[in-house]
Amino acid sequence: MLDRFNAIKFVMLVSFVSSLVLALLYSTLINRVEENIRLDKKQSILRVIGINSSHLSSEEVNLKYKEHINEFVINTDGEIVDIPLSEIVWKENKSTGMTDYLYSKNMLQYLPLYKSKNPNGYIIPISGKGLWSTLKGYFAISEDKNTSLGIVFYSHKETPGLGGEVDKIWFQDQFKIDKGKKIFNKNGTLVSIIVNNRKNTDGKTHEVDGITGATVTSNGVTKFLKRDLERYKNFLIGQE
Amino acid sequence: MLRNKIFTDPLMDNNPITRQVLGICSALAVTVKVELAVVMSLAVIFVLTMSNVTISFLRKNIPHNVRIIVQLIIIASLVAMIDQILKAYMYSVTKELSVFIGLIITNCIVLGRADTFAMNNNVKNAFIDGLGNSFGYGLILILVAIFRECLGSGTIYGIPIIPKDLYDSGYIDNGLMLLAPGAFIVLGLIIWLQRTKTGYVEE
Repeated sequence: MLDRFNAIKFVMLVSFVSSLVLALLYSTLINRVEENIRLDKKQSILRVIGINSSHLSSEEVNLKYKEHINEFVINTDGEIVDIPLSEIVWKENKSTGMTDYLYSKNMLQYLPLYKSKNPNGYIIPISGKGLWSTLKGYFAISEDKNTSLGIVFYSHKETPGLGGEVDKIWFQDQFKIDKGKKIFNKNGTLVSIIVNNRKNTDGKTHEVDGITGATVTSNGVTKFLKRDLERYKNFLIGQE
Repeated sequence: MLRNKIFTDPLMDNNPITRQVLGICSALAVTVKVELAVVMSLAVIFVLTMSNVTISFLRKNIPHNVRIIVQLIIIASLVAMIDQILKAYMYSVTKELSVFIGLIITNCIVLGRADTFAMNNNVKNAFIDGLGNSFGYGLILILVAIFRECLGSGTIYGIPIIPKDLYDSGYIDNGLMLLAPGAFIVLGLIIWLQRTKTGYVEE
């Protein structure tokens, strides 16, 4: 009995000490880590419009970002409102993976929008569930508000080699402008772009190749890309 | 055992990867680029050495019936530490290594050394054993990565080494080297070479 009590005491002590060390380390490094995450998001936004900034220093990335990207906030009717993007709180719904963008003052729904110069277009954040995790990324659309310009994911925990392939160039290149994928069909209905796991998608304007062995991730991308585009529908149809 | 032997043994003849065939999962996954292999090796050197030292230091106090739990707490904390440190100082590499830093916890080499060596030896020897085994792991990792990156992408540590003339005359990088089978083939050749030399045969 005494043995068992000692064992429990020892395990608790070891756990306590290691959590203390971890907490200390975590709190000293958190600022740096958050700065890295912010920078990485900027690099992702640049990458989605085809600008590679991985070899640049943090100041150069910030400069390039300023040069190419303008940040806006729009309301659900698709009109630009006078709120800085930094006032918007990003809140992830843990069960659907959808991100809510709330104005910090009144907690109402708004939408972030990035406008890019050269190539001209718009960038919207996307997020949703894959198989294991929430995928977060950006989708860029050219200035006609119809042709896909690119897609990137900056955060996910899908299986490397399977669902993790969403990170890879071959997958993301399918959304590049030269592939001519479109989100609206001829009748002007928002059909989004479908990640098709079954058939050859050559020449199809609303489909890209899926990932073998990652049906759930592929279907997830299809689903949340459409859902997030729907939220921007008023902006995308308006003032065309 | 002599101190020197504790260090050199796992580097060559008793290498954890090629002789004991442990830690294969990460060895296959992170050897596409030399840079990834180097960072992964550094992380394993930190975790293995520190866990060996800590566990050896506590070995007389660890109650025998909960020793695996204690070892895992220590290893998991060390892995969480290195993960956080890498996120702060080498963010882009961490992103490429994705889950594999976290998976060091399940690397059999770490728990194996903790339970078989650190629990029975003094701190100094445990430290040397940790260094030896993690260097042995890193050595093979980097060796495999050099072959894979060179043959698969034509670069080593990101620096192009295949002359342009060769590409012009029809040479193509071998894409198989970038996939897991490429790692198996290279690793198999290294093991073959080593066992031919040492004459070791699996029973």
